[in-house]
Amino acid sequence: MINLTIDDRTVSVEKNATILQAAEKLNIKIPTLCYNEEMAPIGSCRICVVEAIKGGESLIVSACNTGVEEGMKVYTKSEKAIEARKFAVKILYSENPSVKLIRDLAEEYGVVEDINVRKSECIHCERCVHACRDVVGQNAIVLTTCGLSYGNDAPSLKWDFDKCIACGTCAFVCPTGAVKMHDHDGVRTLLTPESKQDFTLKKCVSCGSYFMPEVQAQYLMKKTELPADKFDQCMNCR
Amino acid sequence: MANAIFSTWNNKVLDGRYNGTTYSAEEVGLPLTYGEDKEFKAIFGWNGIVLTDDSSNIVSLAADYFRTVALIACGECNVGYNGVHLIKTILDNLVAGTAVPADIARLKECIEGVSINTKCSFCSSAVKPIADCLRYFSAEFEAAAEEHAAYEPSNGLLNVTAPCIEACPIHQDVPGYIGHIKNHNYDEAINLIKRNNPLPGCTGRACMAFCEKNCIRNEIDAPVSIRKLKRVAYDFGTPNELVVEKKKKDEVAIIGAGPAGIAAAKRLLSLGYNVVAYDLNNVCGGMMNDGIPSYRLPREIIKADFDEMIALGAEYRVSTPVRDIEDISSHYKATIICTGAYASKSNGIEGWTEGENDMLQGVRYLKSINNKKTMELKNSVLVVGGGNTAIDCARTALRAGSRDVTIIYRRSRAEMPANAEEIDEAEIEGVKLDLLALPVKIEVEENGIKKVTCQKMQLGEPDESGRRRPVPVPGSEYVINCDMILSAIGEKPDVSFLNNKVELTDWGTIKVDKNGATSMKGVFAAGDCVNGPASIVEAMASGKRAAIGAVMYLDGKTTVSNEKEEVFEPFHKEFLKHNLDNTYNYARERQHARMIDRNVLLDNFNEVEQVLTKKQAVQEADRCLKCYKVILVTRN
Repeated sequence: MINLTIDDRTVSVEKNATILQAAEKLNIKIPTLCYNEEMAPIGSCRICVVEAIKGGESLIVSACNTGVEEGMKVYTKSEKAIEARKFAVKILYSENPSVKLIRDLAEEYGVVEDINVRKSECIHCERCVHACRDVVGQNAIVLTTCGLSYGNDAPSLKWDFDKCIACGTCAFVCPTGAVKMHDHDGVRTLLTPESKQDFTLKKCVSCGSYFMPEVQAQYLMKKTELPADKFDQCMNCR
Repeated sequence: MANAIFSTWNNKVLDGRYNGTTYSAEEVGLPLTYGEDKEFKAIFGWNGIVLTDDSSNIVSLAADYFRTVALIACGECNVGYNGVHLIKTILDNLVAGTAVPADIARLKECIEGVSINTKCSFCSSAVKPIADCLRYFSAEFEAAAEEHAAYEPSNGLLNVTAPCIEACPIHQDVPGYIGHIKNHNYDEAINLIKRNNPLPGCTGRACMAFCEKNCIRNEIDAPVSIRKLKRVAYDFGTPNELVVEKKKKDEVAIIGAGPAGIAAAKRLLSLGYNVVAYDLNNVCGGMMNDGIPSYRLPREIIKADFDEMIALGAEYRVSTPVRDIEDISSHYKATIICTGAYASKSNGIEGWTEGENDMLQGVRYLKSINNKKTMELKNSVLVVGGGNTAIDCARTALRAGSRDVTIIYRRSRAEMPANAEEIDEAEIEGVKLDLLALPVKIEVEENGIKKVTCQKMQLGEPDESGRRRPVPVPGSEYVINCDMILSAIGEKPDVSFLNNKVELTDWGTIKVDKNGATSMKGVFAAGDCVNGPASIVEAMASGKRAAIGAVMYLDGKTTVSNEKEEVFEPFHKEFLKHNLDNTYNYARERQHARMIDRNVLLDNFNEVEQVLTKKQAVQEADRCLKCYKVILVTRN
């Protein structure tokens, strides 16, 4: 076990725990945005930053993906931590003021200025990318990043609809509502920040209700090697 | 000698602007001159600012430097991408004369925010010189915000590099192609790799990967699997077809169709020269073909890389041994020798009879097996040496049917020059290691069994190579019996075809100047025949240099045409350094490639390591911390 202090309270946690997990144990709340406890930390939103003192050196680290160390002193509400977090909120707020979650954070941290208003709700946190890759296993979403001669002016999310099985995990994990999914008239529509894709839904042969996208049935059929007629009925009629 | 009047390099502040003090390059900790004593005027980089006089416009320098930083900011974290772009906009406004005084406070806020809170260390370290500007040149920045006057650009020379790029002899843009892979853009990744690498297939499978040895992740968990990611790009990407402008200039001869030869050929072709290459083997590839077993590097991969050169117009005359250098050099205006290091060093073991009684040089053994010559099966094989050739010999012997294979090496495992992963692989496959032991004498019994007397060793003081020197342990002799002994203690060039017409070094390699020119007019040399046995990628770098040397000779030029290389060469050590600032220290597991089933493994020479899956590749690419370093210099 590793012993450390958070806001001057002592806590003892497993060797490979993160600062965020240690704080949870003490019931100390650190705001998060891109973090999802079901997935490996991403570290892109920079909201969960705290001040960590190790070996006499004070560092700003993201709590979600920084491991605990013996004797570490963590301050979640020190002036330095709050300043760093406030800047991250400010940047988010200036880029995505339409997102309620971000407006709330901005209010909490006293951010008022709108530097550069943009319409998109997507904060490029990569939660959907990681969920599709590490949880669903389809690896259908990519955050196209920038680089020298990459030819992209800004990072953008792209869906590979040859791989997408319309499961909706991306919409479920999206913290800002930038990815949306809804079913209507036998069609499932996936709205991503830059595209709109419709998927045909399968109709239950017994009750006539729509229950699963065609692509998902195809995927499961291949994966489970079950005959096609096993996918004709909805869960209720099966 | 140039002196600095101001420096913040590496957090060491030296300010002589107001009292006339000047500081030497040593005090600054950075070279202030390049080439033959040409002076830098200003150095503006990731690690600080250095000025040698007071005539530089610091605001222009900052804006020009930061425009490139903004191009690299990837967009994987909120603060880095958006913060950097806000800073860039303000700096652009300052030099355009459109900024307002409030922008300075805003700039300060952005720099503070970015410098402490980013996902990787690129953006946070890239803002350092701008932070220095605001601290030590606030008057200049405030004036720029008030004057509303457009500033002249700095006209500086920019360089973008990283510790991995610098460690690579051919300077592959590692974070660049890893970023493409992360973006699922395999085509662009392989295009980027091929820009300065004529052997993308071979280096994705059998490269020494100097980049991985200098990967910043070594200090956190384990290096990024750069070589395996290169293979991902090669296996999954479809590159654009290479085209070269055919100018029908002079023809250049290349002797040897190995890595140095192909790199020289590609550079010459791209500059419009025709290439005729000679090789004594019936296939191209040189030591990659003769020395590297096919379970590590399949032959069709080598062939594909060379076929591309042939498609570009290179003529390969295989099965054409060169008996005398003048047979070739007298027919061409320029000749490049790339014959490798094929002769083995003598092992000094008493009773060694080369080529007889199943005592053989490792390279000869590998060459025979790799070229599918049948060899009599030997059950127990002893391999002497600790390098990659020794490992290749041992694993090849297992595949050829030997069941008892031992590597004997005089130092300990940590000193073995072979790739650590290769040593692990060999052990998993059943190769035994007899470390800290040296064979001293061989006696052949009547039934053909060799009794090898070995001496136990211990490690003493470090020698010239920095490795601890092995010292015999008195009275520790013991005897091993075996059917075959392979000597793999190192190779040297076979220079018999030079017939003493070209000057050699004391080590028996060909002597060349910095452009690869030998003592014979119009004859250049590159690769292992110059450097001694090294690696594919070092041979390629050397081949490229010799090709440029040959072109300079043909064009009658004396200076290196690559100005950028000359200007940034003094910073090489600084570029190699790791500037890990602890903003990010989360360990993430290195992805491992699937290996073929060990049970069927040893029956054949099929490739052992499989390509990473696309999912694994993206996860691995995600581990790259993009330690790019941007530097802008202006000169007097």
